[in-house]
Amino acid sequence: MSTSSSSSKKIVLKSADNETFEIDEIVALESQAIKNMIEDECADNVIPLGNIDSKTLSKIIEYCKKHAESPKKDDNADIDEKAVEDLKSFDAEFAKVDMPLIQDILMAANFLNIDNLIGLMCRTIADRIKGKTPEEIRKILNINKNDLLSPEQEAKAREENSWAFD
Amino acid sequence: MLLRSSKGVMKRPKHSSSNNDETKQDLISKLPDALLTHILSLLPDADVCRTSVLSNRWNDLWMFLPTLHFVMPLCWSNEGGNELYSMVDEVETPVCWSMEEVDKFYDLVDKTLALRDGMPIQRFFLYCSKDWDYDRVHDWLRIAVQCKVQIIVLRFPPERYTFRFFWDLFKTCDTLVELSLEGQFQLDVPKGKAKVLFPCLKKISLLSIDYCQVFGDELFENLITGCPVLVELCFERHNFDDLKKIKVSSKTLKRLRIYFTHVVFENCKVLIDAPRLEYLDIKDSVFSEFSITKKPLSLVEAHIDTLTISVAQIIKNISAAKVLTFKFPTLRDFHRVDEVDEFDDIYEVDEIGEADEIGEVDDLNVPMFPNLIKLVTGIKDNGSWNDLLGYLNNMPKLEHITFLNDPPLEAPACLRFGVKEIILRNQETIRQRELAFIEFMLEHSNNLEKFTMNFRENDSKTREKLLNSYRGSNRCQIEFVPGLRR
Repeated sequence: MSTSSSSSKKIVLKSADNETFEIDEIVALESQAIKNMIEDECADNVIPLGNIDSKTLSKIIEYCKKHAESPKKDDNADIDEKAVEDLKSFDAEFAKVDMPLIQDILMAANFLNIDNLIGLMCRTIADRIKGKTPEEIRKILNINKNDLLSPEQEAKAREENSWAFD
Repeated sequence: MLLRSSKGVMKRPKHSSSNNDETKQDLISKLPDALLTHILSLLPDADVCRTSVLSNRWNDLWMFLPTLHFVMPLCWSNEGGNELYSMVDEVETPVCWSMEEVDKFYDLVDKTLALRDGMPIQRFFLYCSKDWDYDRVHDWLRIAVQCKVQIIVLRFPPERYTFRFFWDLFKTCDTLVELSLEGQFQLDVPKGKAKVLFPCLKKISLLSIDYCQVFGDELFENLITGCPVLVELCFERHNFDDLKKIKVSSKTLKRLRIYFTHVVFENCKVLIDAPRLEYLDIKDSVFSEFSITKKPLSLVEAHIDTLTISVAQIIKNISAAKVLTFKFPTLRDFHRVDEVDEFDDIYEVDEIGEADEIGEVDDLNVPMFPNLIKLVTGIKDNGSWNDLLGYLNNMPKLEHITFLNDPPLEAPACLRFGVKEIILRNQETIRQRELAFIEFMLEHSNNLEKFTMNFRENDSKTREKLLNSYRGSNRCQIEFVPGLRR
């Protein structure tokens, strides 16, 4: 699935449902966790990711490929604005997925330690719950009904922050 | 081999495929605190506080954010039904429901600060209503300072007693860069000059504060000079205080905003001594007298909206700016003239176009504006138009001009070459004299790119006329914006 030159080193990621993804090492290095493994020389040819399914993993690889190709912000001060804009619109498109997938990506990004992607997913979630009522947020995030506060607890919480509910 | 992440291992329910709705998808609640607080940190304060009721998982997360926002439970005095409410000055006054509520609030703040156990605080917002307890607030701020607080916002209720601010807490605080104080309490600044109050404070906002009655002016001055690295001052007076001679003196100040609204009854003198000023915004509706001691050469932008009739000194000292707003009653200097009658004379004389007869006009001594690119002018005195022409002649780089009031009777020829944009905030209907002005400018401005004006939809005849009129610049676009005038 890579279009880069054949000389670059390849890394194989294996999803929870046993699908394998061969990617350039440079793409895999977007993940701080994988980078650490490679640097510690404890990465085998195939890295099993037992808790990330193939749908999520392919999204994450899509993200890492794009970001690996783009010039890094701290490389030099005057990277051209077009590249920055391009990456911005890629991110915006990338985040247009349903909430369960966003949550999956966020968990996986957290696990793989991909800072930019964590930031993007957190911003996306924040944008979607901004200005919403607790009831709406529970629905959007699909918060477990077994974890709800008791009526007394909820009343107390509302009272403590009553200004925010006016 | 197993992949380990520094951010903790992700756990997922094993039977995710079977029991979908209830457990599988509440992934969000399973994220570590650091991620959930990351999400919360991107939300406005009120949204954050509301998440406390979402579920047990979310209940106290808000307490661990770097920004803390506490508001005493309030009711408004005009809601009635409560013995504790009171009417002060016929203004809605926030009052706590009961002492029990107050105690609960104190406990909440105490609990939050204890739970955080020294976690850094970036911003601490506290809105107290009546019956607040000085000692406990002092304790909270002490903790905030220990937790490296950078921004403090304090709002206090209307009180008419002197309030010793917590000066001692900040003398050695090396993190606080922004402080906002709001409320009708009397601030008691330590006396004596050259006392450092906030060693690293860059921005201070003083909103509707009262100052100690007898030494108010001196204390205000001390407060400003007590901030040796101050960059920004926002100073608003919306109610009666005891200031008469206000001196803003700072060698480091770059941004200054002064708003005096009509509720401040007494006019006063304001002296600005800030040689490094880059941005100045004055809005005054109480005839205060402003003066700027030295010309701030680095000034970029100044907006002056005042009723004062002695503007020459101000204008002279803001002439280095690139962007200017003039909202004066007149451009003439009347500092020696007190009689309202003479005011009327000026109008009369100007209407017959004999401005030269007014003695003061000749010593206008118009300064040069070598950097000015954008000018917004709202001179209420039509007779000042001739004077404005004199000013426009001294603005060689002017490209954008906005007329907030009536356009000049005589279209300024000096605008012909440089000006790219004209905005006319005219009345809804384009009147005859405005039409003449617009047509003149369209015809004679060689570099005009855009002419924007207010327009009423049904006046299509004027619209056609203007669209078909001759334009000196072939790049010029005409834009009609209904409701441009606010």
